[in-house]
Amino acid sequence: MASEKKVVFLRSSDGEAFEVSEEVISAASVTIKGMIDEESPSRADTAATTTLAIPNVTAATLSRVLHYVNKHFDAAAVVGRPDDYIFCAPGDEHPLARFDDDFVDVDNDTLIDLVHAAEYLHIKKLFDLTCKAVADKLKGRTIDQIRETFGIVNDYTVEEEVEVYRENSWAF
Amino acid sequence: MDRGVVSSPLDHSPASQIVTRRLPPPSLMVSKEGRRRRRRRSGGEDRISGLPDELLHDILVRLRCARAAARTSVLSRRWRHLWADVPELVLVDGPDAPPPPSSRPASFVDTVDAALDAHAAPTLDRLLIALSASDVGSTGAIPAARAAPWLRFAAVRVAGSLLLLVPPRLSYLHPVTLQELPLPACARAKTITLKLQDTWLLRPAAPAPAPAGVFTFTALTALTILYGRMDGGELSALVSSTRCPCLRDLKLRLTLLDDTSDDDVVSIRSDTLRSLWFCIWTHIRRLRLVSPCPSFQSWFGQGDYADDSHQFVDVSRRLHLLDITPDRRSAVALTSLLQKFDEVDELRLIVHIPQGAAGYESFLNETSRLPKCKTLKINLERNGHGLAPSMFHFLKNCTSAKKVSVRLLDLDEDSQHYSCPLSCPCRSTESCRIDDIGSFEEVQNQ
Repeated sequence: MASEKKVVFLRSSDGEAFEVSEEVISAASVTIKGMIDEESPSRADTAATTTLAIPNVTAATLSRVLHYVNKHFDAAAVVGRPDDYIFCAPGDEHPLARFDDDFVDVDNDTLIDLVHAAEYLHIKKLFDLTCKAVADKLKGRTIDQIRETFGIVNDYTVEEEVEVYRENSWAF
Repeated sequence: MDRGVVSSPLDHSPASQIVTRRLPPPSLMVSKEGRRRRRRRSGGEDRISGLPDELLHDILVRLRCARAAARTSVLSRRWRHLWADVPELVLVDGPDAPPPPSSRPASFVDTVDAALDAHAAPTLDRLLIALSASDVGSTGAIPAARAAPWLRFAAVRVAGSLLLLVPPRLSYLHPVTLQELPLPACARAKTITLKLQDTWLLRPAAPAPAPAGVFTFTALTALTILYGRMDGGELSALVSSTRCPCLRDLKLRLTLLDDTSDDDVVSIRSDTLRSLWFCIWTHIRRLRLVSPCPSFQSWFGQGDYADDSHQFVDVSRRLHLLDITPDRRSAVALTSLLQKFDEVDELRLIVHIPQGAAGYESFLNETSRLPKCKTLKINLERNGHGLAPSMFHFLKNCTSAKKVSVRLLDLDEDSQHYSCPLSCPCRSTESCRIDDIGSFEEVQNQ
């Protein structure tokens, strides 16, 4: 078996397996790197590829995460400048800024699945991106708009709500 | 839960008149996991409220606005106290805030008080309080007593960075009555940036004798104090290694109180200092710098220096950056500072050449010995003297420079109509010889 590029398989909670370069996923995910490091002594002399179970992430989310990871962490795919936002001149967009914007332009459930996955897999950049995207949905909206956006049910009694408004009146 | 139509007392948007119970559109990719979780709430699709507190904190932090975070407390019971445990508090008066309804507190200063009062997290990674000019009265003056509780709050809670940014007073005409602003020891803060009003006298709390370490700035690595006033002795004590044992970057732009009792008005004794940006106004100028650290990055001097008022002990003669803005009235200060260093990667000078032949002579003497440098940046105040001769003088004395940048400043109306006498050395043929000027890789003329 040719071993010029090592790959691992990640099995989602609903049983689907995804192939990804070991190098790329190790650079992206602290959690998976830990799993691979743990496995490596036992697989050093076997040709079999490793399959890692990712019990907390569904296939739909995992495929999105891997799409992100391949864009951001595959050195061959990342074109242009070093992958660091501070090196960009003002007005000069990061080459992946557009990709990132589109990536988080999804419905709330998908976004929250991604937050969970990024946290579990310990992919800091993705975690920052998705948390920021959720925060952006809270920004510049009225309370009722936020409730509607996220389906949050107002369970305050009228008296309680008046009280909460009163104690936070400085914020309004 | 069944509340019918309720309009929130403070929510002035028309949408608040209608309680909406519409469900969001079904998502395109619904995970089994998600579906399971969603069933917990009858009929609700509210997944965000189901996130653990830590994740919601991670989201609220990214609002970068304490007010926006606090407003979420009205969403539902789940959200009521969440914002108060977010380990970051950003209070910036700016466009991020909603349009002020009538019930809004009179000033942002009150908002800050209320926010600090309501916040509950015992440890803050960041506390940023930035007032804007519109928060202060017509004079732009804010009583120091209003900011004192903020610093007390910060001393207890901040374990990361503390920034207090107050706009300057609008008028210089008002009589200056100094107001004391106590600075309690912030044992956990890593960086402190204070931009104060010119009438505020910052007074660090005196270190208590026991127990060691508790009353100092144990974790502080960067300290910036801008525009306030301090007593020289108290400043010296504050930035010393005994009070700030980890201090690496120090930036001071202060007015010192007159105090003739001290030998050294400012004495900086630090084992750890890496960069110093220094700009101090005072009538008595004595600076003693004791630091064995060989890597000062910057030096910025301003004020009417006396010739021998600066003592540098254990300071490296090699710097990364030497940036000097000398005072116009002082002839010898520049020389004194320039001669303290042998080699500088980058030398920045603001040069003012006094009028008359004697003035030009003194300029020649002051700058006759420059430290070796790779980059030379000169800001030359336009004056009656010949431009070319003064530049040639610099270039002859700085043959090591590979990059030279010159910028002409128009600061003085009178000087522009002044022409120096024929006897001035800048008119001599000698001053225009250019055969002993080194070679350059880059020359900028702005």
